[in-house]
Amino acid sequence: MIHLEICSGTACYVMGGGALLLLAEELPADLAGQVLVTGSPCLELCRNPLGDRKAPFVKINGRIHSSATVESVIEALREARDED
Amino acid sequence: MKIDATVRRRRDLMSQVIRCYTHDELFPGLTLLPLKMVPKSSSSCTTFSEREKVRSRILPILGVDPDGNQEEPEEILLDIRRFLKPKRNEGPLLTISAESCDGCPDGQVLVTDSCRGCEAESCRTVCPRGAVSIVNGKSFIDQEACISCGLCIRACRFTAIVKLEKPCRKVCPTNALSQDEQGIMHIDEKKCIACGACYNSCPFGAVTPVSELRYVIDILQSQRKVSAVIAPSCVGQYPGTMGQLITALKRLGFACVYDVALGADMIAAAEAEEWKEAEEEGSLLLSSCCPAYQNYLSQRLIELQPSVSHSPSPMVALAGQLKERDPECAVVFIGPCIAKKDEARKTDCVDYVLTFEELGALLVASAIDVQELEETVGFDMVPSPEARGFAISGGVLKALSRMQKEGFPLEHGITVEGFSFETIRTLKQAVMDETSFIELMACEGGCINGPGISCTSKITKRKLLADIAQGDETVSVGQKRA
Ligand code: FES
Repeated sequence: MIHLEICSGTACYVMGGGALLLLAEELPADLAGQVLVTGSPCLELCRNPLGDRKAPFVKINGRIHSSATVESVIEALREARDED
Repeated sequence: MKIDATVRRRRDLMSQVIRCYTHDELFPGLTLLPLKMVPKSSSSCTTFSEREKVRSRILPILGVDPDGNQEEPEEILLDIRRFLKPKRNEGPLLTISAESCDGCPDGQVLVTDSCRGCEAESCRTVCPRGAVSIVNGKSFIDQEACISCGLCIRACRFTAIVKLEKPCRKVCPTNALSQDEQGIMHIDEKKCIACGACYNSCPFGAVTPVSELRYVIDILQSQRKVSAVIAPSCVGQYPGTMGQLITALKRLGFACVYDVALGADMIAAAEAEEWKEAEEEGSLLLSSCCPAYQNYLSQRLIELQPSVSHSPSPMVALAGQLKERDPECAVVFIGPCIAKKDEARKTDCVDYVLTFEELGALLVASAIDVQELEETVGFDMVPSPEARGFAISGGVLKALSRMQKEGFPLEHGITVEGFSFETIRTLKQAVMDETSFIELMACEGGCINGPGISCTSKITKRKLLADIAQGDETVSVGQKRA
């Protein structure tokens, strides 16, 4: 099981993290049933707004991904699956 | 609306500019922002122009119309205080940053690489101007002769011919955008109905509303009592619960928070009555709540204006009552709509308007994390479930339908969304046929899909419908609806 944690702190949420929460139901067939999607309190990565890494943040099996979009997260989930 | 890189960039910039403002770090803070946001690249020319773009977009966030000043954005930022007007801008509601506008092509019909050079040559034969010829085995369009009629586009069976269109111009329902000699777009204030469609259409992020955030921050820090009236479509726009959002607004300094649906409750009965009268007279009633549509009517369908309901919009109904109770209090409307900024200017009961996106930036800049807050128990007054439904297209019709007596021809009421060719035809026909009520919505899907939303309307729609269904149940189990 792949663990996808979507940051639902306000900064991430308004930067697109909110829409990512829909991912749980929109997973493509090859990933469906293999991903546990949970929301997470602020991961505290948003505190440095001028850093290279930007909100929204997600964690996939503990690994951080920034500027997350539906597409980039699905891509990263596939990678995580293939690594296993 | 998709939250793409352009949207994320503008939200990021918005919250950083607001942070500079609230922390009283306008100078040198604002002048440093473009340098930090656009690191030096190999080409100093691109670095310069990218930074210039950022500069020009900082201004409208602070309520400064870049077009309203002679100075370059850089000069303005060096002495920003001088340009911050103490009173709300009466200028344009939306501006286009000339620095960011790509001046992209418009109207040209081009043959792409997908052209197979087929035997049919339907593009060539169909062209009324003889503009298409075959060059090196492929179709070629002579731009001088082409009149952009698009016949060849439809004739091609490989969809190899495309028409280039400026995304902003394409979505503008009133043709309010025009280009200068460089192809840079400008908004004609007189034609603009403030629907906000161009805002999210530009992939260069060149279109920006002239924000009132700064004024809101100022009154929140003042001694004045400030009430927030928030649109029912706020559900799902931020993390956490409604009660937590109310707490967040109080943290920001709002004394009271009201659901705009209360205003919908105030007007629904009168508007239902107007519909009944229209039905009896065989005339037509148009809903009055969507300000962008009202602007559209006043420009393009003047003949329909007398049919508009006399009821004020829910925002004005509620704000009017708040002002009546306490003339000293300031009222800030928070919603998904840009046209409400225009409507607010035309009344004296709404002081300022923020979009959900702007409130989001303010929360982020203020480091308020909604879902970590304790709950404030509900709104000060609770609206009816169907009044909250006004936010979803079809909701006004539903609410008014419920108020009609049995046997009323409810099928004479319809909902019209957007400004497509078909919708306008429906509108024009409605005067002649049996239609007696039309709910007008500029945004497809209703207010939940407005240009100023912060999270996808899909989540809002689902949560709101669930809330309404739940509310309906409690009402039917409990007391009768008023
Ligand atoms: S809100 Fe996501 S890291 Fe802070």
